[in-house]
Amino acid sequence: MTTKHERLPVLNGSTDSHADATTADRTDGLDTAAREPMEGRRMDIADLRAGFGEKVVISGINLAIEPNKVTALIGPSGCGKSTLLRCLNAMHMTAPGAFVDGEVRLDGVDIYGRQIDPVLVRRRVGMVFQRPNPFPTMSIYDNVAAGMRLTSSRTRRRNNDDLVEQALRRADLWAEVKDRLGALGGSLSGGQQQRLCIARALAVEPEIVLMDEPCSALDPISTAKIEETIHTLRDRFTIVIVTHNMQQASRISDTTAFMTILEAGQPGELVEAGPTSEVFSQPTMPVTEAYVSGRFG
Amino acid sequence: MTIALTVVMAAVGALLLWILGYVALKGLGAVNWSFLTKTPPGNPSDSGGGFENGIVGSLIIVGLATVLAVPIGIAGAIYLHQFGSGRLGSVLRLCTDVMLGIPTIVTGAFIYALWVINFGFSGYAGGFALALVMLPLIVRATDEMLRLVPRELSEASLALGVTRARTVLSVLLPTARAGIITGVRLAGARAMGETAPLLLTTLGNDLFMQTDPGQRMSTLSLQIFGSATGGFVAGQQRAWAGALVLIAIVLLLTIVARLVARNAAVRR
Repeated sequence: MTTKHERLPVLNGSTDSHADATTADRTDGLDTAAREPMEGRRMDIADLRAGFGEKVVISGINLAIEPNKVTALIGPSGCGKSTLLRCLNAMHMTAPGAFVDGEVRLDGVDIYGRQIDPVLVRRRVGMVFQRPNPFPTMSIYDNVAAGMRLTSSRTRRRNNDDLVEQALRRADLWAEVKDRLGALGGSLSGGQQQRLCIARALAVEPEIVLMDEPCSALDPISTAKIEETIHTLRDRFTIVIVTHNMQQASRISDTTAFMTILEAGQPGELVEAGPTSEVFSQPTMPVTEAYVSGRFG
Repeated sequence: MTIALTVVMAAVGALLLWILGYVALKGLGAVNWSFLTKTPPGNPSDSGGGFENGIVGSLIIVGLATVLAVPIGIAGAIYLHQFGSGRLGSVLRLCTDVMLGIPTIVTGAFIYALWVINFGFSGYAGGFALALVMLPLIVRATDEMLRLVPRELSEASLALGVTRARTVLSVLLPTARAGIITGVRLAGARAMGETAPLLLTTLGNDLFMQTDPGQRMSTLSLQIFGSATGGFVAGQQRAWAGALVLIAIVLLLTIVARLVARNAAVRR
């Protein structure tokens, strides 16, 4: 892997990252070439196998995630969609006994490479969870600024105001909270909390945003709002979303990947992936057809 | 069901009020300004005088024990929470439970054998003994509170690219803060009332004010014990007053801890 430009990881889009020596050493292999600050990146998953201890949850996964596209992962419960998603930012490895084989390449560099610090991977690949999980002790403002504050050794208070506003605007929450940024994050409604979590993830300016069924705990109106948000985010980020809701997948995604367990007891596999319209209208595999037409799953 | 529970609740409440009322009744007569600002009279059968040295000694020794036990206890609990999912963790948890059950006189004897034999009776020795009494309480309370913090919060922090250490310090601990403060408060209240381990470590210093923990010190609990068992009416009067003051101090610390915990919850 050749690094085009000698540059440390881009944090918060700033160029003053005089990260300490150990950080620099551990990122040698990661291509952090100069880019437009908010341009999405591609990911390539090659022959991925992952699970916990003896249990293999997913196996033989190959998938290309195109930049600035929304990729939806669909499939029945328990087929490993969330595990696959969590492999994309190494969150999977935070669970006890977790293992990963194969490669997940972020712009060509395997994030499971020996030299790569998963903490730095997660700054580039953000995540929104199934249940809204704002930090309960922090205000709305602090929730959004949390990523910047907790990942930086210096306090960047000066620029935070702008970045917080920008992140909240992108998550389509600014208008609703701009007069009460000091209120606790938990005082918002469920849908607002989820958009707050999206803003929090966006504030560290990741290149890829992973969403694990972000609307499953929300009502239809909040869901519509978040789908709208996802739609606009595509311009700047690469998005991977896990969803149970096929209408949602067809509404918001450019690419759809269908996963399932082909035989009971076997790990989840990726059955087919392609442009969303094709996967839904003319799937190549019968099992996909059965699922998207609602005949199973 | 409701009636049974109400009766039990009323009985418990009545018992508590009875204890408080009785102590207040017996002690209130002797509590006055000079009780808080004077040492006991040289002749224990004389009335008057106070437990100033004991109050100051208790505050110093419990303060010392808290300073020692809180950081070690919280650090231990963080270890258990982060790395204690395996066999080692359950062994360590068992150890803290056993430590929790050790009679405090044994703790006192332990410090006596380890420290007092070599360096003599002192406030420091008392502080060490009380720290050992507080430690398992703080570890257990903090561990339980950390385990109550939803895993989603740690995950949210880790997913932002925050290191594990920073996640513990900036997300886990603040979220569990109110509960941890409660644990520390209970441990402190327990230490305030401990007498047995102090008999073997600070010995007591009934008549003189001593603010140097390198020397023998008196504490409220020791003075209550000494005066109550002394056999003089005036001394027993002072013991009741001391008991009342001890309760008042614990109450005061409780209120302060509550305020701190509440401020922690609504800060910003």
